Amino acid sequence: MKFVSALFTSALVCAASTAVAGGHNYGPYPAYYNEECGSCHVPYPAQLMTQVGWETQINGLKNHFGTDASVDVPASQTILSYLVNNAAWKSKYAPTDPAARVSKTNWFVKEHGTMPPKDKGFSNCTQCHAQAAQGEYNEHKLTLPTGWRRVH
Amino acid sequence: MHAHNYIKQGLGLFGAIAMAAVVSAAYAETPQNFVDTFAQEAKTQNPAFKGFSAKAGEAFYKNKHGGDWSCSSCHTDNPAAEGKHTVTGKLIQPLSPNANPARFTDAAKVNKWFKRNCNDVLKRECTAEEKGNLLTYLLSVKS
Repeated sequence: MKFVSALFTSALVCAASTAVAGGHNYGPYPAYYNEECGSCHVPYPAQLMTQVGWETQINGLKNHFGTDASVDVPASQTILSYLVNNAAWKSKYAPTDPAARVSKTNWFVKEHGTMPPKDKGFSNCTQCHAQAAQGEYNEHKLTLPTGWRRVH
Repeated sequence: MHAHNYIKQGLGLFGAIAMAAVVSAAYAETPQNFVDTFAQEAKTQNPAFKGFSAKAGEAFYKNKHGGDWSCSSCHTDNPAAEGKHTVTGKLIQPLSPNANPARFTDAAKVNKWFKRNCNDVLKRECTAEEKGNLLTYLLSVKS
């Protein structure tokens, strides 16, 4: 009984700490997602774009922002169903450009502005979110480049 | 929530063990297997083929061939060193098997990356001779 009560208490603490963190932890990702979508950039959280955006991305991997990021058909189906199952549904996460960049969604622009740090792109999440590769985007762990401010 | 996390961790551990088994099975192929396969293909493609050259592989690796990037744009001038994606800044494990024993041990991965990266660097598929020269160079660098 003591054990059950301890478990219950720690469950409450755990739930509270998750709430404080603002739910900004999207990991751990499936191994295949890290492998296929985390080699050239950090694996981006599925929760940050709507289904139609992910469909655009996965259907266009042959020319993925100027590079060939094609994967075989079974892999692309597995990845897309993972993305769709976890996709956002609010309109602020909907793509606003034909290439369906996460960085052009209304949510992203509100949070980050439109100008990435000098010589860096918004695709490089790790430059500010040190644990982005693990899916951790907690705002309290941000390290902003010197002099950079959000500009809209 | 907490108990749920334990279950997730347990599954994660199981997944890691399963992955380790898969990875060690994938090591059935060695870089030399790929050199041999590329040599056979090169002979078929070009009867005058005499053998691979690390020097030609190095030039291939460091120069551009029609695209915006060379191999070294992301893998750096030293293929035994850690690379960095030129756009996203993502760290890339060393390409040379001398520095990274996981390289050139899985045919599916080797085919996938040659297909993509040759399209980026050369705007076409690589020939067997190009692939063999490159791998011969990668196996010649010191880690």
